[in-house]
Amino acid sequence: MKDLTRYRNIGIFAHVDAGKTTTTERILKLTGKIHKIGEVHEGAATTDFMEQEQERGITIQSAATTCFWNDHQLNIIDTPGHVDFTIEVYRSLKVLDGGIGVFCGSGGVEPQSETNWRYANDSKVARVIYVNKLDRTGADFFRVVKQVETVLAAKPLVMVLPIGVEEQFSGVVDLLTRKAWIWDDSGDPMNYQIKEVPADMVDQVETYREQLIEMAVEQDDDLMEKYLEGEELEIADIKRCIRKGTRDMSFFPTYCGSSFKNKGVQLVLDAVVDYLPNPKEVNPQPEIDLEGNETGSFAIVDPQKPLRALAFKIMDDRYGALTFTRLYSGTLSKGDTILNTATGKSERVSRLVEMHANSREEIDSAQAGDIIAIVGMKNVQTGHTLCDPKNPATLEPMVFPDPVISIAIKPKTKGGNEKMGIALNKMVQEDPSFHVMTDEESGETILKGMGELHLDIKVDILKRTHGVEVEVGKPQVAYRESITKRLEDSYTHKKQSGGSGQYGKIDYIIEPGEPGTGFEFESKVVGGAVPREYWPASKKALEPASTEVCWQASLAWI
Amino acid sequence: MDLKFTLVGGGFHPVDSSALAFEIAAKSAYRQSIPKAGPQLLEPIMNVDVFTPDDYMGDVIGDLNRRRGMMKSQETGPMGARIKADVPLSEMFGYIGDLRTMTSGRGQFSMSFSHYAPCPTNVAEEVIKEAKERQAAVS
Repeated sequence: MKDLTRYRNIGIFAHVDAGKTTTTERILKLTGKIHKIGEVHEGAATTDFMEQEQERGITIQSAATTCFWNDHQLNIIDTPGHVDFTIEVYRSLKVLDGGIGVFCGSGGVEPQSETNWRYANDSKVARVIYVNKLDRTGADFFRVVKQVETVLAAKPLVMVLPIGVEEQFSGVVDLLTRKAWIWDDSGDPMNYQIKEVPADMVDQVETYREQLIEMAVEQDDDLMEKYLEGEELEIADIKRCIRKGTRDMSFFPTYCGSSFKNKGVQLVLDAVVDYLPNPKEVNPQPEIDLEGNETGSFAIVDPQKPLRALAFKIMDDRYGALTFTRLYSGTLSKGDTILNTATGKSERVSRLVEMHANSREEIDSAQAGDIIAIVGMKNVQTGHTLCDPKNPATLEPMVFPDPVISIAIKPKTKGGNEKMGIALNKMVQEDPSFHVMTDEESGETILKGMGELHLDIKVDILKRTHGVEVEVGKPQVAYRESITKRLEDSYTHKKQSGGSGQYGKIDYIIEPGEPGTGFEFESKVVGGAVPREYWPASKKALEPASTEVCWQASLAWI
Repeated sequence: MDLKFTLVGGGFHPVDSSALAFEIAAKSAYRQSIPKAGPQLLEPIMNVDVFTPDDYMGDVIGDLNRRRGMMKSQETGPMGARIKADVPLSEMFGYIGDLRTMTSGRGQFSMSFSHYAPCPTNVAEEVIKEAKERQAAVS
């Protein structure tokens, strides 16, 4: 049985180019998972393993990776920073207990960081802040800290101070211990020395240390009293306060360094272990019934409870389908049969793997708190709950935004149609923000997604992973229609010229609905003017019409 | 689309009525009534958040206005200006390229879906014309 208090499920998220992937690389290096550090700009980073990612230098899919630091197990999800992949960020946040928000030391809080930050607030994910790239020209740690306050309206809790900036950046001072960590320029993060605080920084260190402690002790009245009476506090007590405040998101412990130059990353790892919550400390996921109402019970993180797990990512690679799963409660072992509450089907788990970026390790069982992948699941899609068949429950379903852009594609070769269909089918399962439909009028295949780049990459995946070359049309915006007036009307459908006839007459009111309610159908027929058994048919006829088909119909009248 | 359809009455024939007949009736009723109910084309509007060095702020705002953008806020910081605006998605194609050209490669932006809003008449007409042409080309 593993000790859950030694678990940290964390994500790393930030703006494009703030250095998430580089930071992840350094963490993996420090935790001993890989020996040679891959550089993003050379296209060799361990977590960026798709060809498209390596070429563009951006991370598309969040790769789950397991590593160890100070006897704690860290499950790290490297999330993409580009806006078109926000869905991935959302999905990853859902299964995390904590995160590292990475900001660029010179760029500061960039527009996308703000979006991601807001999503993390919505999902109530505790975070530490890491200001990266302090070796870059124009970098300024204090300006970024100020921006966190003003732009993100968050309270940064400064834990370290940088020693030197830009070219001169050599290390950091840990405020709690009053020790300076100085790295040399060998590029090995283990080549550091712990020294006394540089003489010219002593005053600054004391000022910031005071601020730090004042903010921390607000979490504990007894300590606050001690502090006000002028007693020197134990570091362990201060750490306990910081841990509490971090979990409640009262403040965000803030660190700095340069991942590229291998400086400062250890302290961030220590912070993850010291301050971010373990799976037991976060609010448990509520369970809901099939109608979407909360049942009032929760998936308590405990290996002894019935199994509750959430599939948050499906990936298809050459070994077969991988279902990335977060276990909320219970234990999952090889050979177990699990129930998928979304489909009502049971499936047997044949293989379980722990993911290490591009390699994997077979495991026999996993327990509450783990993030693992199941190999070869057939009927599972993103957002499905997997549970104990004897004790079923559904976890909160994940909600995804509607796609807003579409493009028409058609295969370049005649035989490509079938291949394309199979490939698209797989891709839709992997990404719920990606939709595929066929335009009934033109017979074209339409791809819908969150942005131009999103669809661009889908076309690329079609070509490279599945070998389907396609011609791509101009991007189209997903327009919708509505009406502005209320109308009472009647229609009679009549075809009674010999043989079995057809007859149906309806009187109805059509009116604009409240914003966001979508299509609503109601029947107020009394006295059997239209028999009840025909109501569903009328409703069914209107449903598709209210979204796509009506758009075609509208062409006729204007 | 936000629409409410209420069935209030009607009639049936003991032999000739069927689910299919009512399905067809509903579809035809829809086609008959929508044109009379003041139909409106809605387009997706995006939250656009642009960062630009101060020197290019005028150009960036002018350009967003040309894209039918509604300015919501602008702030100047030490690094440059942050502009927030609501802009129709249809006007945002290729924006990153234009933004980079305008700002010598230093501008950045992010956007996310905000809401649907009615299209101005001239835009709606254009969209419908294009859709008609596309259909004509297919059939």
